[in-house]
Amino acid sequence: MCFGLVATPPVRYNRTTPREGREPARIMTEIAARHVGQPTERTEDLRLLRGRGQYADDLAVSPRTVHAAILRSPHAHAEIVSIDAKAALSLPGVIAVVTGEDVQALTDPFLVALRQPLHQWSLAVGRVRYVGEPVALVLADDRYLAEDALDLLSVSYRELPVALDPAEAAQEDAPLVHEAAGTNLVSVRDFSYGDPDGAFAAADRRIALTTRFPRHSYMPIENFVVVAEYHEGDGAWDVLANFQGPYSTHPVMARALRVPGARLRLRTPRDSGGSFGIKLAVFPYIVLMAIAARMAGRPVKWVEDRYEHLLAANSCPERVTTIEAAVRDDGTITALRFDQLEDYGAYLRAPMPGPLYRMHGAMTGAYDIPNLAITSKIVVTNRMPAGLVRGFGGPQLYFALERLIQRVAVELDLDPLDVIRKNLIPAHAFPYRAAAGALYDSGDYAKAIEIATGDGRLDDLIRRRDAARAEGRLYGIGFAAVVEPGMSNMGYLSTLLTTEARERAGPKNGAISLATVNVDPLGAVSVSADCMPQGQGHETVLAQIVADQLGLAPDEIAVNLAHDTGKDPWSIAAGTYSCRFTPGTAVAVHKAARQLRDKLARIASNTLNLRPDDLVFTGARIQARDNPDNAVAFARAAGVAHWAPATLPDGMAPGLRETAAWTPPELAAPTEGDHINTSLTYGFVFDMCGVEVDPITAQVRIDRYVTMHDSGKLLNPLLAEGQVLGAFAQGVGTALHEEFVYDSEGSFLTATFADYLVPTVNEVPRPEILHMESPSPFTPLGAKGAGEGNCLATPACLANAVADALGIADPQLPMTPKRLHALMAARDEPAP
Amino acid sequence: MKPARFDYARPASLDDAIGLLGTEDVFAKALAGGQSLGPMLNLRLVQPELLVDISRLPELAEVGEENEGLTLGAGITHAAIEDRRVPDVTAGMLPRVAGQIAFRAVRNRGTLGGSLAHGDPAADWVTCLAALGAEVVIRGRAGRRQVAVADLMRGAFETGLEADELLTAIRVPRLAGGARWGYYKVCRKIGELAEAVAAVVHDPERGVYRAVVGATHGSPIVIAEARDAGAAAEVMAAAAQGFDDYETQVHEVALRRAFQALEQG
Repeated sequence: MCFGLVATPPVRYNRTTPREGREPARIMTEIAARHVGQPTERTEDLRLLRGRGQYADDLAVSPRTVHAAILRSPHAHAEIVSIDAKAALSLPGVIAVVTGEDVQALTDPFLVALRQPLHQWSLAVGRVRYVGEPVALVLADDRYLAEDALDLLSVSYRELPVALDPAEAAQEDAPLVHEAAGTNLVSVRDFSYGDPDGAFAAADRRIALTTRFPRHSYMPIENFVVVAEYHEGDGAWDVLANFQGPYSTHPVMARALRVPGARLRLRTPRDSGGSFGIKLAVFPYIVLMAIAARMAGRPVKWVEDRYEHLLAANSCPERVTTIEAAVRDDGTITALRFDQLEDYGAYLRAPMPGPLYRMHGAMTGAYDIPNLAITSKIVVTNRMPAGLVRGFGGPQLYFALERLIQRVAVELDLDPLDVIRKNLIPAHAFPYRAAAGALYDSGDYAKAIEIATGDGRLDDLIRRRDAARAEGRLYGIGFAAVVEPGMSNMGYLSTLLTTEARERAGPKNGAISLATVNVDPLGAVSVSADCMPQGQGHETVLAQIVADQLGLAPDEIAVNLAHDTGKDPWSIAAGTYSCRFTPGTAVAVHKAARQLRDKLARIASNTLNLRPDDLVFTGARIQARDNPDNAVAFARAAGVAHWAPATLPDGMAPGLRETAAWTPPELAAPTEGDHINTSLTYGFVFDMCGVEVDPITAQVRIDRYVTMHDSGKLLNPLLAEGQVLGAFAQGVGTALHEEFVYDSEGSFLTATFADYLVPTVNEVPRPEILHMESPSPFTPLGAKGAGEGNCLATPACLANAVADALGIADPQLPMTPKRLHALMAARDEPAP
Repeated sequence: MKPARFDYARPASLDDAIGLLGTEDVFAKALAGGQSLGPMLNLRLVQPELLVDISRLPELAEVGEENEGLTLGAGITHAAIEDRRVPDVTAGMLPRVAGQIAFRAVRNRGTLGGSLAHGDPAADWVTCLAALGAEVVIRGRAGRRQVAVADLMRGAFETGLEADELLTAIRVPRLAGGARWGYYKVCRKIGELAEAVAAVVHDPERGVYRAVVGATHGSPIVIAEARDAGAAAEVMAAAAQGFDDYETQVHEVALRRAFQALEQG
């Protein structure tokens, strides 16, 4: 396949850019991919499936380590009048009690993306703002004693009125979560692209709906773990935590601790028991344990328990979206208008408000819609602070957008699939500049839909629906078409600021990936990189990539992704989040391996008396392309760089250790007109399903589910399938089960797995997974992010199917039996 | 999520266990499979001073089969029943219900007696065994007594067991030839506690036609003369307390589907 090159900004609406017949600029073709693209089984599984993983809680700690437990607020909003720790401190084995006064004296508040006085420390200072907020920390010889001491802490509160519902909290007379801010509505930004007013004025129809995307989180099996130690002599901390990035948060922690970054050494273990974005939110606890370790003069270990995790670890923001389409009678959408109110809870923790802006450039989704108006509003409430959750703003967007598409079809009496098809970005338009600035790299959306609906799959769904309906059963079909972003532009969040404020702050853009590949004196290859795998199989893929470059077998490549900010490469984009591994870290590793290959080729060319270009790397040998007998062993060529540096070609540095950095030029800063290319790669997902709703129990049964993915070149199809299955399961959870519920006082009602339902293998049918490959022209490997697609598509697709089954306009997430029962009862009531 | 300090004892005999449970001025709890008590200890919802581990008492593992029925030791696990490692006199009802309790890991540890003594309204055994007309054998310092399972619960998580009493065995009447049963529960997901559960047992030879509705806000609703689904649903509706519209509906559907299951054998 070939793809045109797109002009660099100025950004403009680009629907008619013709495909140019040039070769993609950066796809490197001369290396035969023997391993990349193969469904290699995960090498990690040998240890993970046999219980031999090394997770944060498994690693040995100093025998001097003390254990921490956290006292949490029982109130959603209250002043802390006093804390009496005498009884707790007198308990044998209790070492210290840390309170908000200590953290206020020893740390600075965390930096906030918004210029608003929303001060947050690692413990509540003076006031609690959500149920579960850390109020005090007890250090004791063991965790049991620490929890005993919690019961002896006496805190006196003066309760305050609460702001809980996002829309109510945004009202002028609502109780203030942060008095200094003077409002709970801490940011309102209006954006306009094209001519939305003109398009709405000229429209045949205007169709609108309001959606509410609920609070929930995805559940890692392993919760937060922090082990912090303070080295008095260096004035530096050494912290082990199961942090997942982004490492733009590292400066936030260092600033809070009032040290240069080099004095906050952060190590992450090789294995992680799941993250899904959640383990960004361990960072306030890193600062808290660091302070505690310094106060105690001993290492401090804290392991979060499940109750704490559900209550206070992390939540996606709740978003209320009013979305309106300007529509022609034939179903063509000429403009979209979004009014988004997003609830971030009690504090705006870095990198919030990411979810509201991560999709900003791509708000028009898979559709060629030139006119767009967006109002983005941020509200704070007395609920747990929001953070990263797999999908990160995508599920919120697509629940509104894809529900709207279904409503357009219903209102115009059209087939929803026809409405989708009519508005899709045409294949010839790629690379395609979306209205708000996203530069979609490649794709053929119509073809993807044709494949997914083909082979009788759609006919079968229709047959099933018709048969079910003929028997009076409640059966519906749903669709969702979704663009899946990969690797975020580190500048996207600055779209939040006005152009003037951005100029004052200095430009932000790009997304740097770093990796190191090393060859030792015996020719053994090892890899370290700036990602924190959580079960995805990164070690396997990186071994495949390096093996291809160096002509070795994947099992000859040692990949250890335990990370140490003191020793390993990293920059602010480091971490595993927002689908940055494939377009980011994998590319850096590829480049580092390639640099090594070039160096080794020059060394071997000396020995073999050939030009480097005439050499191939294969079977652990470097040999002449046209004469395999003229060869040198890989290990021998590698040895030269270590044992005989004087014989190296002129100007070559000795040793064999290459660190490569990668940042794509397409990730430019926001323009003056607020156009922003929010991500580097844009995959495509098309979902289609049939569901049946039990008319009496109101339970939803997924009858058949088809999910079509174009994630560019698949580096390892087996791992891609794992990503799809995992995201699909979580999408089902969002659609049908998972929600954080608060009562009218702000108490948290879903703090155990008896109340917060996570679907298991019993509740998640196996979807039919289809793939096509439109390689990205913007990454050397052609691969796109593939980890979040179904988190974006599945809730919308299932909601559309339920709406179709029940003939309802407003299926709310999660679609629990109780909710659907109420909707069905309302529908059955005769009109007044 | 660590329990408060407690003492732990593993007595060698039932009598020793009863003695320990009755220790004056000591808040003692019996520990069997620990599938409910364990989480409650960790959440500090219950803070006993003494845990009496009865999980290895030989008396609680005994099984006796007679003409009139089956006696199962209270320490027998759900998994043992599911796997038919103990005899069945209920035309397959006990193994079927056992296999639907929570998850296999829970069934491996959780016990028949522990489940009944915990008194969770949504527990499968409370409904199933009440429908079968089973009785529990209770031993305490005052001696031995028998109580119908249907009468054991006094409310949600409340039973008639005294502090020094242990539920030691369950006596399940043998269903006659030609007897049929139906069981249905509504769960939001497999393994979760039921939102509604119903059991029906029809044994014409013994003159039994009993339906029981569980997962209420208190004790199960026993419908002694069930006759048919419609009549039973009316009795249930009259007896139910605190149900909202949705709860009424799902309990009724559980009941109707239990009757359906009975009809379909």
